[in-house]
Amino acid sequence: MRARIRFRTLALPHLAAIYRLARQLAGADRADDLTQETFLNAWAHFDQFDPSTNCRAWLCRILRNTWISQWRKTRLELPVADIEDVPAEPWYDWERQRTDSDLSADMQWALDQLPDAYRWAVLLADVEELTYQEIAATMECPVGTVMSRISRGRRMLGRLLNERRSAERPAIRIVARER
Amino acid sequence: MNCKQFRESLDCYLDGELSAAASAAADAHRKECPQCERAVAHLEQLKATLRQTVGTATPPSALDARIRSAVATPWTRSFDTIRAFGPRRSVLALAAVLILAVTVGTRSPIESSAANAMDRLALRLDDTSPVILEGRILCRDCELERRYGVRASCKIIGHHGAIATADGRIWNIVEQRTSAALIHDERLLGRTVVVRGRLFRNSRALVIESYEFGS
Repeated sequence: MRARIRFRTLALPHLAAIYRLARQLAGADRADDLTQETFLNAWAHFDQFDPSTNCRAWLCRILRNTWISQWRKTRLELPVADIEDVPAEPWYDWERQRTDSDLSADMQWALDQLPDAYRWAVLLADVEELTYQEIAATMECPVGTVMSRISRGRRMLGRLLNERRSAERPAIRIVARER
Repeated sequence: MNCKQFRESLDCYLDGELSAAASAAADAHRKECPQCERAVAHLEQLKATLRQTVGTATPPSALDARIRSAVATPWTRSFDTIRAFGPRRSVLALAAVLILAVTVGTRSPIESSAANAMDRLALRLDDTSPVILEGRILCRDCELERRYGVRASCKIIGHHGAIATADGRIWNIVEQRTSAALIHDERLLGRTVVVRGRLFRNSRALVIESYEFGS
Protein backbone atom coordinates (compact mmCIF):
# COMPACT_ATOMS: atom_id res chain seq x y z
CA MET A 1 0.00 0.00 0.00
CA ARG A 2 2.82 2.37 0.92
CA ALA A 3 4.65 1.56 -2.33
CA ARG A 4 1.53 2.41 -4.28
CA ILE A 5 1.25 5.83 -2.61
CA ARG A 6 4.95 6.49 -3.19
CA PHE A 7 4.60 5.48 -6.83
CA ARG A 8 1.68 7.87 -7.25
CA THR A 9 3.59 10.68 -5.57
CA LEU A 10 6.98 10.16 -7.25
CA ALA A 11 6.27 8.64 -10.64
CA LEU A 12 2.82 9.68 -11.82
CA PRO A 13 3.60 13.45 -11.85
CA HIS A 14 5.95 12.66 -14.75
CA LEU A 15 3.18 11.22 -16.90
CA ALA A 16 3.11 14.29 -19.19
CA ALA A 17 6.88 14.12 -19.72
CA ILE A 18 6.85 10.41 -20.54
CA TYR A 19 3.84 10.85 -22.81
CA ARG A 20 5.45 13.60 -24.88
CA LEU A 21 8.62 11.54 -25.29
CA ALA A 22 6.52 8.51 -26.21
CA ARG A 23 4.83 10.60 -28.90
CA GLN A 24 8.23 11.42 -30.34
CA LEU A 25 9.27 7.78 -30.31
CA ALA A 26 6.11 5.99 -31.33
CA GLY A 27 3.91 8.68 -32.90
CA ALA A 28 0.60 10.06 -31.66
CA ASP A 29 -1.31 6.83 -32.45
CA ARG A 30 0.78 4.57 -30.26
CA ALA A 31 1.95 7.01 -27.58
CA ASP A 32 -0.85 6.05 -25.17
CA ASP A 33 0.04 2.37 -25.23
CA LEU A 34 3.78 2.95 -24.96
CA THR A 35 3.26 5.31 -22.02
CA GLN A 36 1.01 2.83 -20.25
CA GLU A 37 3.45 -0.03 -20.83
CA THR A 38 6.27 2.15 -19.47
CA PHE A 39 4.38 2.95 -16.26
CA LEU A 40 3.36 -0.68 -15.76
CA ASN A 41 7.00 -1.71 -16.16
CA ALA A 42 8.04 1.05 -13.75
CA TRP A 43 5.46 -0.13 -11.23
CA ALA A 44 6.61 -3.72 -11.56
CA HIS A 45 10.21 -2.67 -10.81
CA PHE A 46 9.49 0.19 -8.43
CA ASP A 47 11.39 -1.54 -5.63
CA GLN A 48 14.55 -0.98 -7.71
CA PHE A 49 14.09 2.80 -7.86
CA ASP A 50 16.61 4.74 -5.78
CA PRO A 51 14.68 7.68 -4.25
CA SER A 52 17.86 9.77 -4.06
CA THR A 53 17.94 9.91 -7.88
CA ASN A 54 15.74 11.73 -10.40
CA CYS A 55 12.54 9.76 -10.93
CA ARG A 56 11.94 11.36 -14.32
CA ALA A 57 15.34 10.15 -15.54
CA TRP A 58 14.54 6.66 -14.21
CA LEU A 59 11.21 6.65 -16.06
CA CYS A 60 12.91 7.90 -19.24
CA ARG A 61 15.26 4.95 -19.05
CA ILE A 62 12.37 2.52 -18.67
CA LEU A 63 10.59 4.20 -21.56
CA ARG A 64 13.67 3.80 -23.72
CA ASN A 65 14.13 0.15 -22.76
CA THR A 66 10.45 -0.59 -23.33
CA TRP A 67 10.68 1.09 -26.69
CA ILE A 68 13.81 -0.76 -27.74
CA SER A 69 12.79 -4.21 -26.52
CA GLN A 70 9.18 -4.30 -27.59
CA TRP A 71 8.14 -1.44 -29.78
CA ARG A 72 10.83 -0.16 -32.05
CA LYS A 73 10.52 -1.04 -35.67
CA THR A 74 13.66 -1.14 -37.71
CA ARG A 75 14.31 2.27 -39.15
CA LEU A 76 16.60 2.78 -42.07
CA GLU A 77 19.28 5.02 -40.67
CA LEU A 78 22.73 6.15 -41.56
CA PRO A 79 25.35 4.37 -39.50
CA VAL A 80 26.50 6.61 -36.67
CA ALA A 81 30.09 6.52 -37.95
CA ASP A 82 29.04 8.22 -41.19
CA ILE A 83 27.20 10.92 -39.35
CA GLU A 84 30.17 11.67 -37.13
CA ASP A 85 32.07 12.78 -40.23
CA VAL A 86 29.56 15.46 -41.15
CA PRO A 87 31.15 18.82 -40.36
CA ALA A 88 29.31 20.60 -37.57
CA GLU A 89 27.51 23.80 -38.42
CA PRO A 90 28.99 26.74 -36.55
CA TRP A 91 25.62 28.09 -35.46
CA TYR A 92 21.96 28.28 -36.26
CA ASP A 93 20.33 30.95 -38.28
CA TRP A 94 16.77 31.46 -39.33
CA GLU A 95 14.49 34.37 -39.91
CA ARG A 96 12.73 35.71 -36.90
CA GLN A 97 9.51 36.64 -38.68
CA ARG A 98 8.59 32.97 -39.06
CA THR A 99 5.38 32.27 -37.09
CA ASP A 100 5.48 29.94 -34.11
CA SER A 101 3.22 27.31 -35.67
CA ASP A 102 5.30 27.23 -38.86
CA LEU A 103 8.46 26.92 -36.80
CA SER A 104 6.95 24.07 -34.79
CA ALA A 105 5.98 22.20 -37.94
CA ASP A 106 9.49 22.67 -39.34
CA MET A 107 11.05 21.61 -36.05
CA GLN A 108 8.95 18.45 -35.89
CA TRP A 109 9.96 17.61 -39.43
CA ALA A 110 13.64 18.19 -38.59
CA LEU A 111 13.37 16.10 -35.42
CA ASP A 112 11.89 13.22 -37.40
CA GLN A 113 14.97 13.26 -39.65
CA LEU A 114 17.44 12.87 -36.77
CA PRO A 115 18.85 9.42 -36.01
CA ASP A 116 17.39 7.97 -32.80
CA ALA A 117 20.51 8.42 -30.66
CA TYR A 118 20.81 12.13 -31.46
CA ARG A 119 17.09 12.84 -31.24
CA TRP A 120 16.86 11.13 -27.88
CA ALA A 121 19.87 13.01 -26.45
CA VAL A 122 18.57 16.39 -27.63
CA LEU A 123 15.05 15.74 -26.34
CA LEU A 124 16.30 14.66 -22.92
CA ALA A 125 18.51 17.74 -22.65
CA ASP A 126 16.25 20.43 -24.08
CA VAL A 127 12.74 19.25 -23.30
CA GLU A 128 13.18 17.15 -20.18
CA GLU A 129 16.14 19.20 -18.95
CA LEU A 130 18.05 16.23 -17.58
CA THR A 131 21.73 16.67 -16.70
CA TYR A 132 24.36 15.08 -18.95
CA GLN A 133 25.02 12.56 -16.21
CA GLU A 134 21.34 11.55 -16.08
CA ILE A 135 21.17 11.34 -19.87
CA ALA A 136 24.25 9.11 -19.87
CA ALA A 137 22.55 6.79 -17.35
CA THR A 138 19.34 6.81 -19.40
CA MET A 139 21.11 6.05 -22.66
CA GLU A 140 23.65 3.73 -21.06
CA CYS A 141 26.65 5.48 -22.64
CA PRO A 142 29.55 7.67 -21.42
CA VAL A 143 29.00 11.38 -20.66
CA GLY A 144 31.40 12.31 -23.46
CA THR A 145 29.18 10.54 -25.98
CA VAL A 146 26.16 12.39 -24.61
CA MET A 147 27.95 15.72 -25.06
CA SER A 148 28.84 14.98 -28.63
CA ARG A 149 25.36 13.68 -29.48
CA ILE A 150 23.66 16.75 -28.02
CA SER A 151 26.02 19.12 -29.77
CA ARG A 152 25.84 17.36 -33.12
CA GLY A 153 22.11 16.73 -32.78
CA ARG A 154 21.41 20.44 -32.29
CA ARG A 155 23.62 21.39 -35.19
CA MET A 156 21.89 18.87 -37.42
CA LEU A 157 18.55 20.36 -36.37
CA GLY A 158 19.81 23.86 -37.13
CA ARG A 159 21.10 22.78 -40.51
CA LEU A 160 17.92 20.88 -41.41
CA LEU A 161 15.80 23.89 -40.45
CA ASN A 162 17.95 26.21 -42.52
CA GLU A 163 17.82 23.89 -45.51
CA ARG A 164 14.06 23.59 -45.28
CA ARG A 165 13.65 27.33 -44.97
CA SER A 166 15.86 28.13 -47.91
CA ALA A 167 14.11 25.48 -50.01
CA GLU A 168 10.75 27.11 -49.27
CA ARG A 169 11.89 30.66 -49.81
CA PRO A 170 10.58 31.86 -53.18
CA ALA A 171 13.14 32.88 -55.74
CA ILE A 172 13.39 36.61 -56.39
CA ARG A 173 11.39 37.53 -59.43
CA ILE A 174 12.27 40.72 -61.24
CA VAL A 175 9.03 42.37 -62.34
CA ALA A 176 10.37 45.38 -64.12
CA ARG A 177 13.76 46.81 -64.68
CA GLU A 178 14.52 50.43 -64.03
CA ARG A 179 15.57 52.26 -67.10
CA MET B 1 38.56 32.36 -23.71
CA ASN B 2 38.62 32.95 -27.47
CA CYS B 3 35.80 32.47 -30.01
CA LYS B 4 36.88 28.93 -30.96
CA GLN B 5 36.94 27.79 -27.34
CA PHE B 6 33.62 29.51 -26.69
CA ARG B 7 31.90 27.83 -29.65
CA GLU B 8 33.28 24.45 -28.64
CA SER B 9 31.85 24.75 -25.16
CA LEU B 10 28.66 26.58 -26.15
CA ASP B 11 26.33 23.59 -25.61
CA CYS B 12 27.80 22.74 -22.20
CA TYR B 13 27.68 26.42 -21.27
CA LEU B 14 23.97 26.83 -22.01
CA ASP B 15 23.14 23.46 -20.42
CA GLY B 16 24.85 24.51 -17.18
CA GLU B 17 27.45 21.76 -17.47
CA LEU B 18 30.57 23.97 -17.32
CA SER B 19 32.54 24.47 -14.13
CA ALA B 20 32.02 27.79 -12.34
CA ALA B 21 35.38 29.13 -13.57
CA ALA B 22 34.80 28.12 -17.21
CA SER B 23 31.28 29.51 -17.08
CA ALA B 24 32.56 32.86 -15.79
CA ALA B 25 35.14 32.96 -18.59
CA ALA B 26 32.39 32.26 -21.13
CA ASP B 27 30.23 35.02 -19.61
CA ALA B 28 33.12 37.46 -19.98
CA HIS B 29 33.82 36.47 -23.62
CA ARG B 30 30.19 36.73 -24.58
CA LYS B 31 29.97 40.31 -23.33
CA GLU B 32 32.76 41.48 -25.57
CA CYS B 33 32.02 39.40 -28.70
CA PRO B 34 28.81 40.22 -30.63
CA GLN B 35 29.13 37.17 -32.92
CA CYS B 36 29.33 34.74 -30.03
CA GLU B 37 26.47 36.55 -28.29
CA ARG B 38 24.47 36.01 -31.48
CA ALA B 39 25.37 32.31 -31.47
CA VAL B 40 24.04 32.08 -27.90
CA ALA B 41 20.79 33.77 -28.93
CA HIS B 42 20.36 31.34 -31.84
CA LEU B 43 20.99 28.29 -29.74
CA GLU B 44 18.58 29.54 -27.08
CA GLN B 45 15.98 30.08 -29.78
CA LEU B 46 16.50 26.56 -31.09
CA LYS B 47 16.08 25.13 -27.60
CA ALA B 48 12.96 27.22 -26.97
CA THR B 49 11.42 26.17 -30.29
CA LEU B 50 12.14 22.55 -29.51
CA ARG B 51 10.48 22.83 -26.09
CA GLN B 52 7.50 24.55 -27.65
CA THR B 53 7.18 21.93 -30.39
CA VAL B 54 7.47 18.86 -28.20
CA GLY B 55 6.50 20.10 -24.76
CA THR B 56 2.93 21.15 -25.52
CA ALA B 57 1.58 17.62 -26.02
CA THR B 58 -0.56 16.63 -23.04
CA PRO B 59 -1.68 13.10 -22.23
CA PRO B 60 -5.40 12.36 -22.59
CA SER B 61 -7.16 12.22 -19.22
CA ALA B 62 -8.31 8.66 -19.95
CA LEU B 63 -4.66 7.56 -20.03
CA ASP B 64 -3.99 8.99 -16.59
CA ALA B 65 -7.10 7.21 -15.26
CA ARG B 66 -6.08 3.94 -16.92
CA ILE B 67 -2.60 3.99 -15.41
CA ARG B 68 -3.93 4.92 -11.96
CA SER B 69 -6.41 2.07 -12.09
CA ALA B 70 -3.75 -0.39 -13.29
CA VAL B 71 -1.46 0.61 -10.44
CA ALA B 72 -4.34 0.41 -7.96
CA THR B 73 -4.99 -3.25 -8.76
CA PRO B 74 -2.65 -5.68 -7.07
CA TRP B 75 -2.22 -8.04 -10.01
CA THR B 76 0.41 -5.94 -11.71
CA ARG B 77 2.95 -6.87 -9.03
CA SER B 78 4.46 -10.25 -8.38
CA PHE B 79 3.57 -12.29 -5.32
CA ASP B 80 6.23 -11.08 -2.92
CA THR B 81 4.98 -7.53 -3.13
CA ILE B 82 1.27 -8.25 -2.83
CA ARG B 83 0.05 -7.84 0.69
CA ALA B 84 -3.59 -6.99 0.17
CA PHE B 85 -4.58 -10.61 -0.28
CA GLY B 86 -3.34 -12.02 2.99
CA PRO B 87 -0.26 -12.60 5.08
CA ARG B 88 3.02 -12.41 3.23
CA ARG B 89 4.20 -15.80 4.42
CA SER B 90 1.28 -17.70 2.90
CA VAL B 91 1.75 -15.87 -0.37
CA LEU B 92 5.42 -16.77 -0.53
CA ALA B 93 4.60 -20.37 0.30
CA LEU B 94 2.12 -20.53 -2.55
CA ALA B 95 4.66 -18.98 -4.92
CA ALA B 96 7.19 -21.59 -3.83
CA VAL B 97 4.71 -24.39 -4.51
CA LEU B 98 4.01 -22.99 -7.95
CA ILE B 99 7.69 -22.67 -8.82
CA LEU B 100 8.29 -26.20 -7.55
CA ALA B 101 5.47 -27.42 -9.72
CA VAL B 102 7.22 -26.05 -12.79
CA THR B 103 10.70 -27.23 -11.97
CA VAL B 104 10.05 -30.77 -10.71
CA GLY B 105 9.85 -33.36 -13.46
CA THR B 106 9.89 -32.90 -17.18
CA ARG B 107 6.16 -32.29 -17.29
CA SER B 108 4.60 -30.37 -14.46
CA PRO B 109 1.13 -31.30 -13.15
CA ILE B 110 -0.18 -28.13 -14.71
CA GLU B 111 1.35 -28.93 -18.05
CA SER B 112 0.13 -32.48 -18.17
CA SER B 113 -3.41 -31.38 -17.47
CA ALA B 114 -3.44 -28.68 -20.14
CA ALA B 115 -6.26 -29.35 -22.54
CA ASN B 116 -4.62 -29.31 -25.92
CA ALA B 117 -1.31 -29.20 -27.74
CA MET B 118 -1.38 -25.46 -28.22
CA ASP B 119 -1.86 -24.85 -24.51
CA ARG B 120 0.99 -27.22 -23.69
CA LEU B 121 3.23 -25.44 -26.19
CA ALA B 122 2.38 -22.08 -24.65
CA LEU B 123 3.34 -23.36 -21.22
CA ARG B 124 6.67 -24.72 -22.42
CA LEU B 125 7.76 -21.74 -24.49
CA ASP B 126 6.69 -18.87 -22.33
CA ASP B 127 8.05 -17.13 -19.30
CA THR B 128 5.77 -17.19 -16.35
CA SER B 129 4.94 -15.23 -13.25
CA PRO B 130 2.60 -16.11 -10.38
CA VAL B 131 -0.14 -13.55 -9.84
CA ILE B 132 -3.38 -12.75 -8.19
CA LEU B 133 -5.40 -11.02 -10.85
CA GLU B 134 -8.74 -9.25 -10.95
CA GLY B 135 -10.72 -8.97 -14.13
CA ARG B 136 -14.04 -9.33 -15.85
CA ILE B 137 -15.13 -12.44 -17.67
CA LEU B 138 -16.10 -11.75 -21.24
CA CYS B 139 -16.41 -13.70 -24.45
CA ARG B 140 -13.07 -13.43 -26.22
CA ASP B 141 -14.50 -13.93 -29.70
CA CYS B 142 -17.33 -11.42 -29.22
CA GLU B 143 -14.81 -8.91 -27.89
CA LEU B 144 -12.56 -9.43 -30.92
CA GLU B 145 -15.61 -8.90 -33.11
CA ARG B 146 -16.51 -5.72 -31.22
CA ARG B 147 -12.99 -4.32 -31.26
CA TYR B 148 -11.63 -5.42 -34.60
CA GLY B 149 -14.55 -6.71 -36.64
CA VAL B 150 -13.43 -10.33 -36.54
CA ARG B 151 -16.43 -12.55 -37.30
CA ALA B 152 -17.27 -14.55 -34.21
CA SER B 153 -19.02 -17.91 -34.46
CA CYS B 154 -20.44 -17.82 -30.95
CA LYS B 155 -24.01 -18.35 -32.14
CA ILE B 156 -22.99 -21.71 -33.53
CA ILE B 157 -20.29 -22.99 -31.18
CA GLY B 158 -21.00 -20.97 -28.03
CA HIS B 159 -19.09 -18.25 -26.26
CA HIS B 160 -15.46 -18.58 -25.18
CA GLY B 161 -14.77 -17.00 -21.80
CA ALA B 162 -11.58 -15.00 -21.23
CA ILE B 163 -10.53 -12.47 -18.63
CA ALA B 164 -10.22 -8.76 -19.37
CA THR B 165 -8.04 -6.81 -16.96
CA ALA B 166 -8.28 -3.11 -16.12
CA ASP B 167 -5.61 -2.17 -18.66
CA GLY B 168 -7.76 -3.46 -21.51
CA ARG B 169 -5.84 -6.68 -22.12
CA ILE B 170 -7.64 -9.94 -22.67
CA TRP B 171 -6.08 -13.06 -21.14
CA ASN B 172 -6.83 -16.45 -22.61
CA ILE B 173 -7.68 -19.00 -19.99
CA VAL B 174 -5.78 -22.28 -20.34
CA GLU B 175 -8.47 -24.95 -20.23
CA GLN B 176 -8.20 -27.20 -17.21
CA ARG B 177 -10.63 -28.80 -14.79
CA THR B 178 -10.31 -25.80 -12.47
CA SER B 179 -10.99 -23.26 -15.16
CA ALA B 180 -13.43 -24.94 -17.60
CA ALA B 181 -16.47 -23.20 -16.09
CA LEU B 182 -14.93 -19.77 -16.66
CA ILE B 183 -14.49 -20.58 -20.34
CA HIS B 184 -17.74 -22.35 -21.08
CA ASP B 185 -20.38 -21.27 -18.57
CA GLU B 186 -22.12 -18.41 -20.35
CA ARG B 187 -23.93 -17.35 -17.20
CA LEU B 188 -20.62 -16.11 -15.82
CA LEU B 189 -20.03 -13.59 -18.62
CA GLY B 190 -19.78 -10.08 -17.21
CA ARG B 191 -18.92 -11.26 -13.68
CA THR B 192 -15.88 -9.86 -11.90
CA VAL B 193 -13.48 -12.54 -10.78
CA VAL B 194 -10.31 -12.64 -8.71
CA VAL B 195 -8.07 -15.49 -9.83
CA ARG B 196 -4.92 -16.96 -8.40
CA GLY B 197 -2.55 -18.54 -10.90
CA ARG B 198 0.23 -17.90 -13.38
CA LEU B 199 0.52 -15.54 -16.31
CA PHE B 200 2.25 -16.48 -19.54
CA ARG B 201 2.76 -13.00 -20.90
CA ASN B 202 4.00 -13.74 -24.39
CA SER B 203 1.04 -15.95 -25.20
CA ARG B 204 -1.36 -13.85 -23.10
CA ALA B 205 -2.42 -17.05 -21.37
CA LEU B 206 -3.52 -17.58 -17.81
CA VAL B 207 -3.34 -20.81 -15.83
CA ILE B 208 -5.87 -20.64 -13.04
CA GLU B 209 -5.24 -22.35 -9.72
CA SER B 210 -8.33 -21.07 -7.98
CA TYR B 211 -10.74 -18.19 -8.26
CA GLU B 212 -13.50 -16.40 -6.47
CA PHE B 213 -16.11 -13.98 -7.71
CA GLY B 214 -15.86 -10.33 -6.80
CA SER B 215 -18.71 -7.88 -6.33
